[in-house]
Amino acid sequence: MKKKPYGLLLAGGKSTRMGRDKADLMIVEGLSMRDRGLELLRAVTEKSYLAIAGDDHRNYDDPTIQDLRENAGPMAGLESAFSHSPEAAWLVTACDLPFLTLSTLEYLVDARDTTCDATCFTSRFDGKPEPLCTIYEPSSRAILERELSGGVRCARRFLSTLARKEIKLPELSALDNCNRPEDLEEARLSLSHGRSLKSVLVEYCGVLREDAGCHSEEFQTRSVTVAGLWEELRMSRRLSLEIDSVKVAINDEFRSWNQPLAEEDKVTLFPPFAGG
Amino acid sequence: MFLLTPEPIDPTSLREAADNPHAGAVSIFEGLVRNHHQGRKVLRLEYEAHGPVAEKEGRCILREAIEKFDLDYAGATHRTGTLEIGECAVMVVVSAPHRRETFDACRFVIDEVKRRLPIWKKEFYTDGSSEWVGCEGCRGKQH
Repeated sequence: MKKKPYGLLLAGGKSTRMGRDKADLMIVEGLSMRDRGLELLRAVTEKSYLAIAGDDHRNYDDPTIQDLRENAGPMAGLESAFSHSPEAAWLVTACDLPFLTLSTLEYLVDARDTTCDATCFTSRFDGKPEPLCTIYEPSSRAILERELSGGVRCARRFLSTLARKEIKLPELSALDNCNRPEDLEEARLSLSHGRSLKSVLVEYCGVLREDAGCHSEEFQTRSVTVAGLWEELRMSRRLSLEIDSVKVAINDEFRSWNQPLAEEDKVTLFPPFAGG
Repeated sequence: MFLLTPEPIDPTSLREAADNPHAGAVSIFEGLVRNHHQGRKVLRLEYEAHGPVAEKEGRCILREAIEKFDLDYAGATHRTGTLEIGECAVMVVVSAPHRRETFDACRFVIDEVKRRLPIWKKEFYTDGSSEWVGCEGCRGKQH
């Protein structure tokens, strides 16, 4: 039988778009994103650690592993984890994955191929490997060190150089992340209300119409709020604007991004206005 | 009355709508297509509007203006489609008993039109390039 991997929850990000440390945010009553991430990891790993920045001197109740180098993102976390326990395989996730579920993690662990350097999911948005819900085998350590010394800081680029087993996500949105308050609201609502499949009509205007290549389209979504839908569309249709500069109407009425979606809603996306 | 139109704006007929024996003043604002923008030479413009929302919001702005400035009349028309240099892109006409209210209301209406109506402008330059106005700073950060 395969030895269980160790778990590493990345919590050292700067969360600039959220305006505060994402790991502290409450995802459901009494449970922070950090607590929830660790709880999930513990269920499928031998033991789990919180990866924190080198200059993070807060006291945590949970075991931590501190980054050995600065500003190297997730790769620094994994480097420190291998330095801590070189024999272990590390299942790395991030605390800003509010849609991650236990069944998705179990699916990954079941699919694990120890003869590869890594077992990971394919992104539902661009078909590339997802580095932040991945099992890194001890054999990946040497390549990690090589890439880090070569100046690589992008975890995805590092993962692309590994011999890996890539699998499809059993739940499509499990790895959608959460960078803004609107995304968090979407996550909270989806955890409390569930994510039912809806069909909506999306209308694109101006530059967004050019990005999407059409005036309108039917779109199937499990997003609860229009912010969740925007994130899906932004990635899959390669929309060029940021959410802050876009306004939205539902059924021809201006609405906030937290507005819940209903079956057959018409959602219109407005770039910055430039009349007159 | 608020109108979106792909046809050239006719200032005379729009002006006549403001005639009212109770009104002692009429103010008119006309927004024209100019041949330059931020140092670049403009050849022509294309306006795109979201009809249902723009018309609803446009009527709302005019109602607000009538109430706020106690007007006898407020009207605005905005063009869509391709416009050449010198063409009228937007026209605002208001009337009231006195001039102070009409000047203020005219400015209020055009400012709100620019701020609130889902209308987009694509500029075509003499060098063959084009740009969506207002989106320059927001684009390209993400990808």
